[in-house]
Amino acid sequence: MTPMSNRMTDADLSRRTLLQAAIAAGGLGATGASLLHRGARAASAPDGEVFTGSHWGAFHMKVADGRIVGIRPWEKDPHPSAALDGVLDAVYSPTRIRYPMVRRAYLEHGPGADPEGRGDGDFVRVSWDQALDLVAKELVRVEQTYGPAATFAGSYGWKSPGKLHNCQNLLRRMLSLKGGFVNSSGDYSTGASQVVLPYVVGSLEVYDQTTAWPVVVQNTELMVIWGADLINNNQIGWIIPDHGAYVGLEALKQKGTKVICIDPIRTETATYLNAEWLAPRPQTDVAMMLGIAHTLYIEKLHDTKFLTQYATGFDKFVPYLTGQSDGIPKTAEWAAGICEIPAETIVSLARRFAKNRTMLASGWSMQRQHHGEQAHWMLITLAAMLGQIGLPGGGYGLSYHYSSGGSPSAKSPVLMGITEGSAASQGPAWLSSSGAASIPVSRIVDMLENPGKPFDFNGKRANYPDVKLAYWVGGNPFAHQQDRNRMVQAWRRLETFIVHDFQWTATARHADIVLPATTSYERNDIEQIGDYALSYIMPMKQVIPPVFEARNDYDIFADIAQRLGKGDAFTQGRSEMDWIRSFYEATVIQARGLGMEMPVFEVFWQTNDALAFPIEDAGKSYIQHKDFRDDPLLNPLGTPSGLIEIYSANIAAMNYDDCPPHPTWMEPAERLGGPDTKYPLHIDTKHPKFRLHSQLCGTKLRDKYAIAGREPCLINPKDAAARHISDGDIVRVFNDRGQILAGAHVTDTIRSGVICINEGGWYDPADPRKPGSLCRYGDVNNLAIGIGTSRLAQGNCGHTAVGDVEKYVGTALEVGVFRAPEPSV
Amino acid sequence: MSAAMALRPAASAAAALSPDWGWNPSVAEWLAGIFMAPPAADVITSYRAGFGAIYLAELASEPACWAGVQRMRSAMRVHTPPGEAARALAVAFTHLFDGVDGPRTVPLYESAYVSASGRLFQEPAGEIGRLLHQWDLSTPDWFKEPPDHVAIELALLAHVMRRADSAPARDAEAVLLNQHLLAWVPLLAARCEALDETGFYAGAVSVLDGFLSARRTALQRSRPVNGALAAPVHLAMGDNLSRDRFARQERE
Repeated sequence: MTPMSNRMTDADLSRRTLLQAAIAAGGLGATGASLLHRGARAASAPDGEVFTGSHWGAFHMKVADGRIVGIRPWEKDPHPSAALDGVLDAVYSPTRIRYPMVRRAYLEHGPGADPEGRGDGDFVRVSWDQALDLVAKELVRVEQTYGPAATFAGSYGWKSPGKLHNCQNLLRRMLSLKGGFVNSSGDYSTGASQVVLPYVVGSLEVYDQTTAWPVVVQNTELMVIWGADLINNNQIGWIIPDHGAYVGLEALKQKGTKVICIDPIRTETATYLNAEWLAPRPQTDVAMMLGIAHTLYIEKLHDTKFLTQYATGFDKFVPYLTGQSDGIPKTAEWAAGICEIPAETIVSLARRFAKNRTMLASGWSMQRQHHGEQAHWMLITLAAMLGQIGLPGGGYGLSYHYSSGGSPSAKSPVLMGITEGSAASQGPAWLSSSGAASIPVSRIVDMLENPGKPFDFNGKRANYPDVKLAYWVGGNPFAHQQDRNRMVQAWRRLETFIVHDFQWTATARHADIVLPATTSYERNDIEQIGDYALSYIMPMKQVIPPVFEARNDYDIFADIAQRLGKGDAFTQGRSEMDWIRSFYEATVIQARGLGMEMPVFEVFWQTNDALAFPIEDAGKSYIQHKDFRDDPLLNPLGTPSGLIEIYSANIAAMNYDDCPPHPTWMEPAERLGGPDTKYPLHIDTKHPKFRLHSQLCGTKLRDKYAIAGREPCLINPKDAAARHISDGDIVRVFNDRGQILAGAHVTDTIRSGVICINEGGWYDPADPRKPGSLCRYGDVNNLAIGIGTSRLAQGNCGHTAVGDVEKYVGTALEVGVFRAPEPSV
Repeated sequence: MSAAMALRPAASAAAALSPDWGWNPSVAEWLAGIFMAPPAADVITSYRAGFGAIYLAELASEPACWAGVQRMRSAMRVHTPPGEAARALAVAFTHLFDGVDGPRTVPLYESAYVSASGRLFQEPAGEIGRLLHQWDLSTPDWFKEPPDHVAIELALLAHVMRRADSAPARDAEAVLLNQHLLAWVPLLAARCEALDETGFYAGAVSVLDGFLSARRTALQRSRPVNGALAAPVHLAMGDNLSRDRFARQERE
């Protein structure tokens, strides 16, 4: 033993003996003496590999000592995601929510207490029973006090994949049993186009399968990628991605097909495909397209036969195009003045588009801006003028950048999942509008600011409900909602804000009650692979037990429903595996209808691999709108005329001044070079390479891209030099709506006049109690405008933002606080 | 707090903290408790003028711990009402250790510091898990933390310290100190120092760091125990009778 100190006396020893005995008896609260019990615990999960998946792909997780120790991409994944490593961080991040927590003021003083304190992180750990009692009691109080339209459950976001643990459906399933709630419709990705395009081509289009990649590779002569980064964005899928787009891109590259990328940034796709890069001013795509259309028209390069046979309203559009109706011919020169692409280039584009089999492959950014409805409407009008819609490799495609649109579809059944219950509406989940009331999803701040006041949406007028409680699962509105500071103010109107998550996102930090949810790897589920391919059904097997005190959303909601006296109605007496089996067995019946026999559930589940479905010639040779082109009478579009509506009488009848009845250039509220625009730089945003929106921002992956511990800000050397900004500097980006810090990346891959900060950086205000406070990390939605695209679609305008940037010279901030702990030496 | 109690003790050549083998495990367990939950108001009252004050004074008598204890005391004096002081420390605990502040979190897990990934549940969790298994120990269901949580490592340290008359226990203590706690507590201390605005937890980690360093020094100077190596003694540490038995053994 250690030698006795010469200083110690018997009295010292006696005192210490007494002290240690008192400590052991709990004299100073908790002690480690109670921490260890006799009896070793068996490993919580067997060693080996478990097959599962996520938004980044399918993979095997290696387990040792009850822990996930490695991740190996699925052998059949042609292009595993660069972000796969971050999946482990989602499970084992130091920012994992470990226990149920309640904001202290809320716990002590009840609903509505100190709303300004939301976000300052003063939480108290509570037991699960205490937390669930609190939630159930509050749901009942709000329902009884204010009625069903006072609870908002339009919870939106990129929840985990899986047919059972669909937390958003589970939330609405529970609330349907409780009474009523306010829902939301639409989404943040395609809010404008998904409303306007049904009037134009009779379907959503943005989520529809596009002409298959093999057809494009074989037939397309000119691939025009307009505002999209296919290499970057196809890493992720809404379900489990098959990454089929990369197969198509590789084949396109090998063939040497001519590619033009139209984008303010020279994207990874442009580099990979060695594309011609055209960088117009952001938000001016419609003007540029009009300039091309005008050239086509005056040079008689447009396909009048196609326009006559397959479209209506071109005659009403031409007077606008030529300036007959407004005195402004939409010439290439006129367009050049707006978009800054030279007129001769615009003319050349028109000629090249008409001369070649041209595919107009557009992303969605062009419709996430003020008057965004016009962009894809004009793109489709342009494609109609080219007359190649429905031909192999021609026309347009709006999903080549998303979840591997164009990946050939398999002959497969569609796996069903948990529903919202009796109040469920028909149709895609993202268009759900069940509930006591519904608002366009990105209008939540307007709703909070204007209870009882009217709003327009898609030809209807309704009043905003007076919401007192919001319940959010599987999403991070403090990342995806625009105009953060306005949002923070509006959020204070809520009496209660409840959040389930597995990480301390900005949204969780702003909640009153936070419940820790499991990740996909801590529960069992089932899912399909390939959003468009649907080429496999895979088991998503539980890899490890829930970490810390996390629970499955299903179990959390079941327990809340139980407290509301509706437990059996919620679960229907089924366990997790009962549900998964039921989804699978319903699919077995579907498959029989397709002439295929699937294995029994037990065999499928134990195989530890995905069940493949055949990709037949029909999938590989799919041409979007071919059936319509072949026979427009037999296969009409879903528009009133059955044809492409370049002019929409239905939209005309709505009489919206911000959404005319044919594609129209309208100045956005602000833009680079705009007539009344105050700031000199456009603030562009793009999808991050190492995140899924805000997911994985709280992980070690940040080390791969952060600059000075902050979100990177791409800036052209000319703009940087004018501001004395060097690569690696901390910069302040600002406008009248907010201010953020970022790390400068000086690069000529972005055009002058534009800076770019990836969306999804975690909101990190220096003072959460003070709206307008400097965001220390770089949440770009502090700067974007918070208005709707128009009264038609009310989509978000995340790409409408101008501002300025300066080298940060404010109070010195401890950059070290952003560093993850460093490894020992 | 009297001025006399704040006097800095003279650095001793025998910096070993452990003059008797019951005290050191007790300190390790007390430190474990510091990182399990923030102190309640009555505990702060005790630290100011009751049994807790005597305990802190005793700790502060050790040169390696004096400065850290002083910071803890100062932090508890910022707010006069004990309830307010407890609240301030609870807020600090949540901000620092519960992950609420995202990147500014101070993880209490060895894995976060010694693994290249910075993740939790890495190899140190496996190693401590195997040590727990070797000593036939487990954590209770109410403490759902990975094995490399600082409190569990300290509780295990206390467990093997109490069995230091056996070679396996001495070996285990050396492993825990040299390959685990002392490999990352200095990093925890640096991070806490940078981020703890109250000073309470920065002080507590300083005490921990001092305690561990002193313990290592003491072990390096210690003589082997006479007698054969003893097998680990399996006892339920939550059992008061067992603790009483330890106390009796020490007095004997």
